[in-house]
Amino acid sequence: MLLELKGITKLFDKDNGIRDFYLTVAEREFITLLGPSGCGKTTTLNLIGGFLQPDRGEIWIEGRDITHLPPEKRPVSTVFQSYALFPHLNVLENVAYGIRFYRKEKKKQALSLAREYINIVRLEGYEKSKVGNLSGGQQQRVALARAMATNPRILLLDEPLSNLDASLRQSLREELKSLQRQLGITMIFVTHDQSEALSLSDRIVVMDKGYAIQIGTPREIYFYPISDYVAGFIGKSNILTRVGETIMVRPEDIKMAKNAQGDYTISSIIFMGQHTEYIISAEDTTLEVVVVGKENSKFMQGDRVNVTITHQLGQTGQGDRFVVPELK
Amino acid sequence: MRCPRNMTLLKNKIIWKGRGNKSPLSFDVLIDRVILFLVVGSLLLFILYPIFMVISTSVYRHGVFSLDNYRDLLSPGNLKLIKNSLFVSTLSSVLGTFFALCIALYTFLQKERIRALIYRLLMITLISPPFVSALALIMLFGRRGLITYNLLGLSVNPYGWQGIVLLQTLGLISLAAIMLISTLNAIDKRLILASRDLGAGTLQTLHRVILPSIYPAILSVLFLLFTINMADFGTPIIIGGKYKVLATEAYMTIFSAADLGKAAAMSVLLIPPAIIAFYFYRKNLEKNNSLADGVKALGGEGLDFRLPLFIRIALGIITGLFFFLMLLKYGNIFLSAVTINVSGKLTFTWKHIEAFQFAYLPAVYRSLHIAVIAGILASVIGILLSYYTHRRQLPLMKPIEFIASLPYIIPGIFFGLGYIVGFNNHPLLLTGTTAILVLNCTFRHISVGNKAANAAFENLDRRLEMAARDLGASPVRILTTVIFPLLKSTFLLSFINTFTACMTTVGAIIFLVSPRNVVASVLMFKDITNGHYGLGAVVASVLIIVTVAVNLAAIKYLGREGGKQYVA
Amino acid sequence: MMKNWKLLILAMMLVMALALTGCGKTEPAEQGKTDEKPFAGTTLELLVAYGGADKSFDAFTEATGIKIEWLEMSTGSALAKLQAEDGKTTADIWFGGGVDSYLNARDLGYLEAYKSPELSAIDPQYVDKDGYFSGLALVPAGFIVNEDILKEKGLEAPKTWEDLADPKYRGEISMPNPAISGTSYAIVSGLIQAWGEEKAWKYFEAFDSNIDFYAKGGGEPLEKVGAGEFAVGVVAITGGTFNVGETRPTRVVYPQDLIPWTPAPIAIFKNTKNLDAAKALIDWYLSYDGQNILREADARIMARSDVDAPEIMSGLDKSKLVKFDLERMGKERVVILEKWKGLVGEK
Ligand SMILES: Nc1ncnc2c1ncn2[C@@H]1O[C@H](COP(=O)(O)OP(=O)(O)OP(=O)(O)O)[C@@H](O)[C@H]1O
Ligand SMILES: [Mg+2]
Repeated sequence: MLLELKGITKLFDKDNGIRDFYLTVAEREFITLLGPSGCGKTTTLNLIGGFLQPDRGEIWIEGRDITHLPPEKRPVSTVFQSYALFPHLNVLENVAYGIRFYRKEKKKQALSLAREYINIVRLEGYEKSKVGNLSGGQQQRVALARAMATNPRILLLDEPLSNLDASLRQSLREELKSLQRQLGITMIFVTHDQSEALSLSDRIVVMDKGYAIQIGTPREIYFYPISDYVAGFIGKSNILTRVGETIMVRPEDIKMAKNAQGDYTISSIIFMGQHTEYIISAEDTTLEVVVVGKENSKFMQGDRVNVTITHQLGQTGQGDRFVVPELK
Repeated sequence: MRCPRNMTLLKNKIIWKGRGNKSPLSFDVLIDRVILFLVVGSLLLFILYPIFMVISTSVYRHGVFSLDNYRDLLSPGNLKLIKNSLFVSTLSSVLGTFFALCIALYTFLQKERIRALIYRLLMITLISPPFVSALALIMLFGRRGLITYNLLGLSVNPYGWQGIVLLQTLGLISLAAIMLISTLNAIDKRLILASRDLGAGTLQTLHRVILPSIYPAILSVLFLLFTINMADFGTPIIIGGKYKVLATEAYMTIFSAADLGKAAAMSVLLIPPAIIAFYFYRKNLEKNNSLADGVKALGGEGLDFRLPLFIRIALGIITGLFFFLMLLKYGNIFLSAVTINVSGKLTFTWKHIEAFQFAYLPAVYRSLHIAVIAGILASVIGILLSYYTHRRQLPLMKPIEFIASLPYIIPGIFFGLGYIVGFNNHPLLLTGTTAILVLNCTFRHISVGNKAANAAFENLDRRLEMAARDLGASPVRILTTVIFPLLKSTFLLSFINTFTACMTTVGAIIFLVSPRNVVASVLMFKDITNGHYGLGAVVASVLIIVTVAVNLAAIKYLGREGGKQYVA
Repeated sequence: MMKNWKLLILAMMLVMALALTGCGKTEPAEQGKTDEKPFAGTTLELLVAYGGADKSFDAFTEATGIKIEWLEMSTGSALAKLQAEDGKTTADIWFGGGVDSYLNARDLGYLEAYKSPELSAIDPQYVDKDGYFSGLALVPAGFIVNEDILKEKGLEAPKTWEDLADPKYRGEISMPNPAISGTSYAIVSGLIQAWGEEKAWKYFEAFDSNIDFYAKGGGEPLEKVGAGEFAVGVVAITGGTFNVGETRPTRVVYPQDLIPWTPAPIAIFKNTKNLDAAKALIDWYLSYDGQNILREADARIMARSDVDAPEIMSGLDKSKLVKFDLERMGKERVVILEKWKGLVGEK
């Protein structure tokens, strides 16, 4: 294993921090930490990066305990939330910084190596620019190049895309993924955007209040969430009570059929192009249903419908169904 | 992203590099420890120890513990002095703060250009050799004053508390206004816009938003002025006439009665108000931080904010008047350098300048030398102190920081006394050396750089340091490659302050000079107290010109690059 | 840019190191080339309270090869500094000033006794009997008046000490605080010694009611009268006092009843590292040549009886000089000043 977190606990106070965190990361893996604000994602990265010392537990890289190494000695690099580029240095100097101090290259050599990384992130021509004058996307690339330039075994990325607009985000996301594939860099990526997590990751770590609640491939997480929290956080889900049992169903796993005597009435329709969202309600329940394709045009507001459930979450999931870990 | 042409570049270098094996106590870490040790050690040795020595002078008489010096400290005579001191200082500080506020508001509401101009002028008027303002006042408004007597035909007696209040008020307006302008600039302009947006008029916005948000700063300026005025002995000595204050009497006790113990005890009386003032400053600092938390000020450009005409005019008149008086003062100093006052009539003369050339150049050169070194040292130590205290959050640094702020708030003479008492014996024999002057000037002003750095660090993303470490820089490297370059403008501010103060200081070093290490400001003081006003004015003029020149050079050298915008 | 900062830190450490080691330097005394100048190359440090004395230093250096570094410092400040340093001054010689401070320093053990062979030509009145200090010159006390102001106010110049107590001079007199100025104290002590306690204190009371406030430096009245702030100043009369009259409408007045005076002393500090050179300096300044040169530098009545009084001081009637007991003056200082303070209050 490349990286192992063995039962890491780091508490700032009794509510904040991370607890009992286990994670193993293989070479070339792309891992995403996903969770709401304040759940401890940055804290986890800071522990791996060496900016924080855990209260308990160990961090191993390639079979070595690095728990007590200072950041400057760890073979990991971080792309910080909002980048933390050095404002007094230009693009080239920023990228060369780690080459000089981490790789201990001579200044001249460092600058020429830095140019290659600048080329990789396609910023040729901006070498001498002040980083403050770059656009958000460009800054992000500088941060990436700077972090990669130390040849880290693991690249840690803390919400690198969150400051960018939607379309830029989309394209950078793809570039990042292809770069990762081509160079085979192991990455741990933090986001609270579920679609980012699903589309990029080999595996996702869903976090809540300092706990890693579920670790699995995007499919596992999406189709077999181990708790209603996970199900709710990734994708949408309806909660239904059937014969005294509560079950969860994704909107796209509900099929509607028009029926004048149907149990449900369509109360609102949101047309989204590719798909359409319907809110349907019976006496005591309200459900969200997603319909894809042409079928769309069949339903009108006020229509009465019957529903069939094609897949039900948690039924075939591994482990305990919907067991919410005891908190605290 | 493009596939790199040279993939081996990355592949080959992915190795352990064996660096992880090294023990954490590498050479750089050692240097870090050494720097920390030097900073803390020097603060203890050059601040705490001398202060301790003065206090012990006041309680030990010939090696025997005695509180005699404190016994008659609260005698009716001294109570009168305390009352006088409190009265004068309170009045001067309130007036000074008020006028500074007017000037600051006026400046704040001007266009960028004018704002920069006023700010620069204020910086220049910070350079004010002691005593010469008092002399200018006498020459302009005295019994044979150029203005009162020659122009208006009056014979006014400037000696007394009114003169002290006038001079102390005028003397500290620049400092106070600069502090207030900085605070005003730090207000989130969106607050003002929001207030206007919510229907408040400009006057209401001033009253409800602007003033409340700088209220803590106003308070801390007020207390700072109060402390400085309490400790000021130079103004009352020249203009006070028979009106006596505590600081002056402490000074006189030293020079006339040569009674160090008693003088030290009197100085101790000045410390409680200083500590109270410091406490307010600290509270204000914390409050300010919570106010400014995470809020980045917008540029002041395009902020359309007009106060009612009569207020604008009033503020304008006050600002104009202040600069007019400053003009008079500096004009008078330069004029006095080349004239002689014969019963109120001025006659041109080269005499003073000739006398100056003869003996003073080495002293001016020495002053310059000392002030530059002290300016650099004080700034570096102040920034390091702030770094270790607030950035690295090392334990026990907070009390050290408090110790570092003491010399700034206690009377200069008191601090100087500590040096002469503390460093006259082996192994700390520094008497008569230039080093003792450098050290005294340096450690007197650590606080300025320290506080500026504290403010700058508040606005500096911690992740920059994390990034630097992540990229392999050791703590020392971070200091040299990230912290200091980013804190350039802080350094500059601190340097200019310390340098200027050292060039013109008298009180703290008057005890430390001897024939071989005399400096220009002390010579000026001697000339003035000996009645050689013309020569004193020449020295003052030279000090002013040299100080302005060095400050400009520093601004040019350090302020050239835009380090400023990141530290706001 | 990074380099600059490194340099800076380096420089800082260097300076710290320098500061810490201190520079307790002692000038290596090059041995003189000729026998006449055995101390050539030595540097002596002087604390000076003798206006104009610096004009004689070049001649001294030329004659002896001894270099001089000097600092003007009132004797009160010097005494305070000596006490703070516990006598460990770097200065070698104390040159001029108030004799009461010398007496004090002598009693505190800060001075080195030295009886110069030249003393034979000097009136023992001016010299400490154990040789802790010697007199360079005699400084009489008197008045300086501004003729313009007097005319304007329709006043006569005062002629005697008694005149100063006349209410018509109210608010027009400037005199230094005797606690600060050696001359002022010499006046107070001299009048007491001449008139006896009772008469003197009665006089001071009347005199005090004419004074607005006492000046805080010996030179202040001179400048204030010159600038027209006051009509009459009570001052030590030296060459400098007369010089003011060259550019300003001032005139020196010797009191016709009594002239208090002080000797301008010179002494060697105990802590000196250059005792022999210091002795050479004393010898030179008490010698016939030295005294003449010093008189040129600042016109005073010199201590040597074989040196004539300077031209401008020919008006001084030596018979009016108070018969002064310097020891008594020194001994009574604390008591007299205490009483003085009680009399004048917070002026
Ligand atoms: N140095 C610290 N001292 C005290 N509390 C801290 C510290 N750093 C983080 N916390 C707290 O720990 C919790 C986890 O913080 P963390 O920064 O890891 O959250 P996050 O998951 O990265 O959130 P976000 O998505 O908003 O960045 C938060 O509640 C935070 O307030
Ligand atoms: Mg975060």
